[in-house]
Amino acid sequence: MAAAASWALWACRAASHLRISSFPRAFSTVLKDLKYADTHEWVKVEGDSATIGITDHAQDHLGDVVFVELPEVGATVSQGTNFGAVESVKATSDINAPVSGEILQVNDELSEKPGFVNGSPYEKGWIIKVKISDPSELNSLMDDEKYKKFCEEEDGKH
Amino acid sequence: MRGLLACATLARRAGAGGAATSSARRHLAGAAEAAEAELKKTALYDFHVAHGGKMVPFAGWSMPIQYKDTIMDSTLNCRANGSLFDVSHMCGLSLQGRQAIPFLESLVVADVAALKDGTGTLTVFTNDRGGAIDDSVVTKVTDQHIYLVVNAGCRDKDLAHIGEHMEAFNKKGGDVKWHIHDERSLLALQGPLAAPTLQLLTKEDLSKMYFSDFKMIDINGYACFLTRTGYTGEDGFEISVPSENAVDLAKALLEKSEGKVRLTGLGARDSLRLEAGLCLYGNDMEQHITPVEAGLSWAIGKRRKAEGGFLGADVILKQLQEGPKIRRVGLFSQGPPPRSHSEIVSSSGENIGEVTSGGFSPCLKKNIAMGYVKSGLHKAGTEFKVVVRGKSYDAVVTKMPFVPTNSLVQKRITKGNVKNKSENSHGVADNGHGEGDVASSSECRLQPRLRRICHGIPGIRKTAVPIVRSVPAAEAALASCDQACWWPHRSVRQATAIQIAFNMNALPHAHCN
Repeated sequence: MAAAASWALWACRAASHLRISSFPRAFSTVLKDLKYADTHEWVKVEGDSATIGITDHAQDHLGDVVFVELPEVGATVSQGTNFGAVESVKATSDINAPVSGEILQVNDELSEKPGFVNGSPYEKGWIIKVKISDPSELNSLMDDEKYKKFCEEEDGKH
Repeated sequence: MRGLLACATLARRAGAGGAATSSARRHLAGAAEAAEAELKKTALYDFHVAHGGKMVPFAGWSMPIQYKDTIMDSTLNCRANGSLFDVSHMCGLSLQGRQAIPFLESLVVADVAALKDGTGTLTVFTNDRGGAIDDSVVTKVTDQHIYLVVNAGCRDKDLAHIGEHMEAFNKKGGDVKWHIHDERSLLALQGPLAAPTLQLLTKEDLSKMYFSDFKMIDINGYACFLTRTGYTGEDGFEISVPSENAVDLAKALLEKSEGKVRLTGLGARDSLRLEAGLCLYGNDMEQHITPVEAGLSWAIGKRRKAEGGFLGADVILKQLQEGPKIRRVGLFSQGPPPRSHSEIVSSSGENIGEVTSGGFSPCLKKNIAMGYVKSGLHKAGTEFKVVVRGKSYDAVVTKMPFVPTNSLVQKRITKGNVKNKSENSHGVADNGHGEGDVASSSECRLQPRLRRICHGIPGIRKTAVPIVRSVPAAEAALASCDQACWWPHRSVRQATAIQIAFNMNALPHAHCN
């Protein structure tokens, strides 16, 4: 997740520190067949379409998700830029597109049940589906092993 | 750990003499981002870490933002059962001397002289433009001893300010000295189980202690300063305990509650105070905001309104007469939770103010926020928009507190009258159930409280609140709140019922076991 927005005297720092706290936690789930961005989004590729969501690791650090800001169907997203936001009780986080493309579908159910992002980050908590415009972009993403290591390193930094 | 603290204290005290030069130095030091290694640690630091506290930098301290419970669960549990917070980062201060009261009154808006010994009030330190330097709970221990607690983030600024004025005051023949209580830690015990739990650790009869009362008492064998106050909207206490006993006291409190009172971090503390409509200094109050604009006119003593005599009195008294140009309001909004600095606009898009605190309310399950709008647009029901990430969302002004406050403890019965007062320690005036003088009985003490509890619960008519004299009756009353009420669980209702009964002294201690 990209840096939290700049509100509340301490909340943003607090939020960013949630990510790097030394709090010993159980390892988050990382699924084998997905690709991962360093901003903690996952991509599931099926043909030329990609389903995108945030990882278990990301939702765990965010805490209770209370609102998901969804983009419009038909809009285009480009790799590495933000297309929406996830709000938890304390923090706001941007969601970045791990691949570029046109938005085919958004998970409207999250408007009513944002908690799916916590409870089922890889299934019911999916956020958008896009039509991949440049499949070569997938090469820049991490596989599960690499992403797992990436999270461990990030948690261990402080 | 304590060494670090002690060094900081020494530096501060050394600085207090020549406030002008040293404040500049302190400012420089403060401006440099404190490296994590330099963060101060409270006496409970290791205890927090051992209990899974996620430590974050806050006002120069390493503090737990949450423990293993989520912020949502912690917030709900505080209102259902209870919370224990380490708030040792806040600065306890004693002013002593024959002129402690006149001196303090030159800096704050409260009528300190009129306080009874052993009682306190929320007040505001003002600057010469009438703006708020800090808010603080001040307690008159005796007429020669004032105890106050100021915000951690304002500590250096406040101490420089107080120190500078104290020096000038004493030069003119005044008699005031201070003691900074760095030898003590501060725990906040909040929620319906706060009193029953604490009662198990002290011989003092807590049912005789009312909101804002202060006592120096023995708790679990430790010499504590106890204030019935808090920052959650719930009944509760702030306990100043010698630092060497802080961990043991925290353990004892958690143990006596049988796990119901949970360690709670700053994250839930922020949700709780927001739900209770209480200001966070630095967000909802600042140097350029006056107490009148902040909706804290009630904290300006009657005598002080007539006489002035505090910094910026001319500005503040004028505002009291003419009305302020902007006002703090509470609001509900659609869409994503507004956060501080979200713009408030009219339906035609014109800027009318700004959000200063906002978030998702764990109890109400919707967005709540506070902000400042132009006077005239501050009335409950006024509709406008808040802008979050470029998009406008509907918002409506609502009365605060958002969640009915439970920090009621009846004021003393005087001359046959009962005056019910449910003032939040940090600044929301009673939200207007003017009960007036009523005959003394537990039932009339309880009525407004129940009404307040039921206020805001869909399906409950305020007029239909039954008279309640016991726990079963209170429970039955609350059971009628079944549909759509913000107590999601039976245990919550039960705890509330117990609290009601406790507050009306129907069951002074019976439920403690």
